[in-house]
Amino acid sequence: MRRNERAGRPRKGRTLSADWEAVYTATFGDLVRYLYRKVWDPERAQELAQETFVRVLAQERRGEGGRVENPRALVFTVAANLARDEARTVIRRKKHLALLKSDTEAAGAATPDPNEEMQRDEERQRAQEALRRLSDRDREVLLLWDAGLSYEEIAAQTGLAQGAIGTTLSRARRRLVAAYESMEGRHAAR
Amino acid sequence: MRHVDDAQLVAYADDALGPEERVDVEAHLATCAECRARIDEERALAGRAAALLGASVPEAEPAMPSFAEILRRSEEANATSPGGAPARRWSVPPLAWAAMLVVGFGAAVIARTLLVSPEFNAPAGVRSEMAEDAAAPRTLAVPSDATDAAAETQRFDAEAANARAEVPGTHGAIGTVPPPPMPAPAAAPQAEARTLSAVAETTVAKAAEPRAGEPADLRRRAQDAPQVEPSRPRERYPDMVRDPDARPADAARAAAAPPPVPAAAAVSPATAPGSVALGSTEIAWRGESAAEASARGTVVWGIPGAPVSSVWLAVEDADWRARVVQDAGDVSVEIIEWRRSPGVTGERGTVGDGRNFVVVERDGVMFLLRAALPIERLEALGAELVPLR
Repeated sequence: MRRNERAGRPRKGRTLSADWEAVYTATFGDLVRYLYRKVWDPERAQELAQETFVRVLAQERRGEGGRVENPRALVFTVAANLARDEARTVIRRKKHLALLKSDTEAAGAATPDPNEEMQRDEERQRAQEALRRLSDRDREVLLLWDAGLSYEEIAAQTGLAQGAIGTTLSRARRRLVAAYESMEGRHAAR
Repeated sequence: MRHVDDAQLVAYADDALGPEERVDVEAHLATCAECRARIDEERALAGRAAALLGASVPEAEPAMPSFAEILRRSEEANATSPGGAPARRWSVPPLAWAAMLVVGFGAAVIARTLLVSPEFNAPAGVRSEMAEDAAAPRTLAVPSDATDAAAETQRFDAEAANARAEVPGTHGAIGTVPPPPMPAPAAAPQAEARTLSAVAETTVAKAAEPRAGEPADLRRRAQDAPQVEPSRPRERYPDMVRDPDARPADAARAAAAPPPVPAAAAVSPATAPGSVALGSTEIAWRGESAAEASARGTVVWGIPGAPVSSVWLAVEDADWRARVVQDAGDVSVEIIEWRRSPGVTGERGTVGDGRNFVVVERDGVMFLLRAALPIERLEALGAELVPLR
């Protein structure tokens, strides 16, 4: 029996079942964007993305869950659960308003043309609102596809039949564009 | 010519098909300009949606800690909490826990003494009436067919899920039609009825709870609330539930159902048929008899003389407008009326669950008929379609 096990300590140096560094490097940006569209808070999205990897790696090191066949899909599953918990437990505390303000300020510092930046900011707000108007299922499928998951992975994560992913995606895209354009039309009419 | 169905078409445009399917689709595309145009349209749509998704996030790249840092934190998490439980569980000294327990218990005793009695906050005139109410036996009427209602709720929910799942794309998701709803398992209605009774009891308790400063008549109404017999779904949502007489099979199912659970059953709006968490962008529908639909001024099309099981109406932004389910012999036929074309007139084939479908046009309106019937029989039925009055 190993010393750590005798002492009841975790097996600290357990070999990881995948090249998690490569997964981390390739996935982190997509994961932050995916989480951002769930919590609408850039800082929180980054924290949750880090927390996702911490949890996945901790679980890996404990040897739970067996060999990971698809590390990327596992990461997004854990992230979706974290985002769901976040939505359940955290009151947003009007963070959205602060977010819009900070987005404008942060981007404004880097862009010389304030008019252009204002227009971009309006577009971003409209795109976010259009995304919010989708049903949960449409939005989830769209975000997972945008994060780079395959039809098979999306089906596994959402519980939809793989054959239904294409039509769901198509409908989600159509509704997203329609919602955006309806807002754009209203904006232009003002 | 049989066109590529929507699911395959989108998957092809997304480069998500397997090699064999891809070859099949490409062989068809080589000879079909219409499907090539649909592919181009799908790709343009996907590009537009991707651009909007890109525009929805801040442009700044997220700060990414080093992998070593993440690894260190994961080791730390395991070291401090081997089983995954929070490491700070005992960070509050045991004495503080004890003090909190004592204070909490004391507060609970005081609250119970002062607040729990409904008479505590009531004006003097109301107290005696409330005492009488409390003394009177309070029984909740139990619908004799609570189990039937629960079973129907389950079936209805299953059909709602099916209806939501089959919201089609522009050309209709012919290949993704869900199977017909399955009857609920025998044990499920009891469990459902118990859940419903728990909801009823919670509702009753909340309704009876007096509030400080509330006018006496309102408080009395709250007291009276439990006396009202909880209504069955079809009574509370008369326009959202199928006409029971139109489904003779329901009677047989009800007869075969387990005996009613001796508890009050009420259905909250969230669990009531027809309101099963349909978001504003989801398809909205309701089932009703042809007579009810007609009374609303809604004309639906169907097979003359065949009994109507249910009528489903879609909201404005859906591609289909109405779905009528009729009995033709011992099989159900679905007649789905479309706003936009579900395909090409004369198109026929088999859906995922083995049923056949045909697309027909009547008076400039497109209909999709599907049933476990030969295609020739479906086409013959399609030729008979008339507005049902």
